[in-house]
Amino acid sequence: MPDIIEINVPFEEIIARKERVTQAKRFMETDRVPVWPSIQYRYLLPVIGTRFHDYYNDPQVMLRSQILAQKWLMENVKTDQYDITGAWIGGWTDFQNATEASALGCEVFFPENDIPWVRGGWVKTDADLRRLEQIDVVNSGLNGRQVAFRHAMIEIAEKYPVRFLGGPIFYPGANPALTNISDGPFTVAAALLGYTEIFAAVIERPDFVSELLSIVTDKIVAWLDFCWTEVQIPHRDFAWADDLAAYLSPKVYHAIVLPYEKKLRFHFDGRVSLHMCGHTNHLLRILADELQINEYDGFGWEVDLDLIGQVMGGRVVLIGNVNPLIVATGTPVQVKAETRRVIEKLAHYKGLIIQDGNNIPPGSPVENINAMMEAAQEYGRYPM
Amino acid sequence: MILEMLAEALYHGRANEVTNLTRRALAENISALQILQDGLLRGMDRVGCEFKAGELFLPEVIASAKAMHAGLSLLRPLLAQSPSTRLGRVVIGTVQGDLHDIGKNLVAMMLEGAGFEVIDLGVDVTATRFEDAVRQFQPDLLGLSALLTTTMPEMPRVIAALDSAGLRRQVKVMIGGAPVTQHFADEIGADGYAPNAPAALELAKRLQAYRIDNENPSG
Ligand code: B12
Repeated sequence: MPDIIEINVPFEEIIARKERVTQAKRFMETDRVPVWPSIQYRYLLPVIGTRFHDYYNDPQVMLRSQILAQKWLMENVKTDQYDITGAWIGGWTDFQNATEASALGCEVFFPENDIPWVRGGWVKTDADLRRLEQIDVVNSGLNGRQVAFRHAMIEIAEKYPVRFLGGPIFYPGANPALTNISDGPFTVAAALLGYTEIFAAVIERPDFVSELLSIVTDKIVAWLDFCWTEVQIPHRDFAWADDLAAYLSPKVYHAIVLPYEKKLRFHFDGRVSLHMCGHTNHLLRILADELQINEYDGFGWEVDLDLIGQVMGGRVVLIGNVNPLIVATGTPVQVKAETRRVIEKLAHYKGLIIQDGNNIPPGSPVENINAMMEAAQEYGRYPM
Repeated sequence: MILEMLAEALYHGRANEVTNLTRRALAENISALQILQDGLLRGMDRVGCEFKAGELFLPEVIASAKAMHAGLSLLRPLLAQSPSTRLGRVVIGTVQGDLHDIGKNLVAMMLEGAGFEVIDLGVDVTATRFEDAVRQFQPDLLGLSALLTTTMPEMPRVIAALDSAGLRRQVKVMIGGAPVTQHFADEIGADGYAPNAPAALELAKRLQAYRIDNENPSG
C-alpha cells in the first residue's frame, strides 16, 4: 500500500467551496464572492522543483508533479478551488495549448525551462488545405502522445492515492483527463496559417480563411468527440478559448469567425464557458447574445467593468479580471484595491467569481495572490 | 483632391488603388514629398489614431500598412534623393525566449510606412545578436519587444550587452510589448516605451529628433 498523499485542507472546507462556487454559477447569493486564482504549471512546476523537461517526457513525473503541485496550491493559496482533477488541473495529459496545432502538423518546441511552444504557419495554399483535411487529428502529434500518456497514467494510478483531511481516498491518475477543451478555431487556424499572416488574410482572402476555419473546426470537434468517448465524460459541458479573435473588429469576427465558434459551441448542449483575455469590449455583445456563453472565464483586465456589467451582468457568470501584472509586481494592498474595484462594480449582479484577468505570471508573490481572497472576505460579503 | 483620395484609399487599406493614385499624382507633377506627406501619411495618421482609440483593428491596420508599402515603393526612389525624408534606421526584434511577434511586426510595418529603414531580426533574438546587429548596421534606434513577464529580464541584458560593448551611446533603445510599462523602461534605463504601434512611431520620431538635435548637430 503506497503512502497516501494528504492534502491539508479539511474535506468539509472542500465541500463548502464547491457549494459556494456552484451557487455563484447559478446567480445565487452566497456567503461571499468566490475567488479562484488562475495558477498554471508554468508557475507551479518551479515551485515544487520539477524540471519541465522531465515533466513532459515521463507520464509518471507528470502525474506525481501535478498532485504535488495541486497539494502545494491547495495548502498555500487562498482559493475556492475545490478539485484537483480535470483538464488544466490534474490527472491530465498536460501539453498546454500546443496540442491542437501540433496534431494539425505544426512543429512543437520544448524549451528547457518553460512549457511547449508551437511554431506556426505551414498552411499556405489550397493544396495545403487538402493535406490538412487528411490529417488524423486523434493520433497525430501531441494528441497521439496524450493518449499514450493517459494509458501510462492509468497503469500507475494506484501508486498515488490522495485525500483531503477527513475525506475519502481518490486516485487522480485513475481516469486522467485528455485536453478536452479547445484553443478555438481562429487561434488554431492562426497557428496553421501564420499568426500575423492570418490578420492580413481575413481581408485579402476571406474565403480561404473560412475554408481553413471550417476544416479546423471539424478537426477540433473530432478530437473532442474522441475525448468524450475515451474518458466517458458524463456531461455535455464545454470550455474553450479563442484569444486571438479578440484582435478582430466586430464586423470581421461576426462575418468570418462566428459561424465556426457557433458550430463548436452548439456541438455541446451543457454549460459552456469561453476564455478570451485582452481587450474584448467590442465583442461582449456578440459573445453574450449570439454565442450564448454561460461563463466568461478569465476575461482580461482591460475590459470595461461598467460595460461588461451592462451587457453580461446577471446572465453570464463573470470570472475575472484583476490585473495579473499587479499580482506579479504590485503589493498586497494594490491587489486588494483592484479586487475591491471589481467586486464593487460586478458583485451586485451576482454570478461573479474573482480571478486574475488572466494567468498569474511565474514568480508572483503568494501574499499578492492571497490578497484577492482577503479582499473578497472583507468587501465581498452578501448581502451587499 | 487626388491626395485626399489617396489618403482615403490608404485608410481603407486598398493597395491597388493606392498604387494607381500614387502613379496619377506623380503624373500630375505633384512632388513625391507632398504625395507622401499630404496623401499617404495623412491616411496613416488617421489609421493610427483610430487604432489607438480602439475603433480600428489589427487586420485593417495591416491592410493599411501594406497599402502604404505599395505607395512607398513608387516614391522611395524619388525620395531617396532628398535626405530630409530619411527618418532613420531601426533594428527591431523580439527578445530571447519569446516568440510573440504580431505586435513587433505591426510596429515594424508602421515605422517602415512612415519612412524609417527597418531591419527586423525576428523572434527569440539573443542579446549577443542584438549587439552584433547594432555594430553591423549602426542603427539610430533599437526596438525590443517582449510579451512574457519571464522574458522581460532579457531587455536589461541587451542594454547591458550594448553597454559593455561600448555601443550604448550610439543608439536609442525603445521597448514595448503588453506587460512592459514606462516604469519598467525607466528602471532598466531604456530611452523610451510605447504601448502600441502608433505610439511607437511617435516615440521613434521623438527619439530620432532628439538624437539629431543633441548628438549629431551636423545632421
Ligand atoms: C498570440 C499569442 C500567442 C501566440 C504567439 C504567436 C506570434 N507569432 O506572435 C502563441 C500561441 C505562439 C503564444 C504562445 C505563448 N504564449 Co501567448 N499570447 C498571445 C496573445 C493571445 C496575443 C498577443 C498578441 O499578439 N497581441 C496583439 C498585438 C498587436 O499586441 P501586442 O503584442 O501587445 O503589441 C502591441 C504593443 O504591445 C506594442 N509593442 C509590441 N512590441 C513592441 C516593441 C516596441 C519597441 C514598441 C515601442 C512597442 C511594441 O505595439 C504593438 C502593436 O500595437 C496574448 C494575450 C494578450 N492579451 O496579450 C498571449 C500571452 C502574451 N501569451 C502568454 C503565454 C503565457 C504564452 C505561452 C507561454 C504559452 C501559452 N500558454 O500560451 C507561450 C510562450 C511562447 C513564447 N515563448 O513566446 C501570456 C503571457 C503572460 C505573461 N505576461 O507572462 C499571454 C498574456 C496570455 C495569457 N493571459 O496567459 N501566444
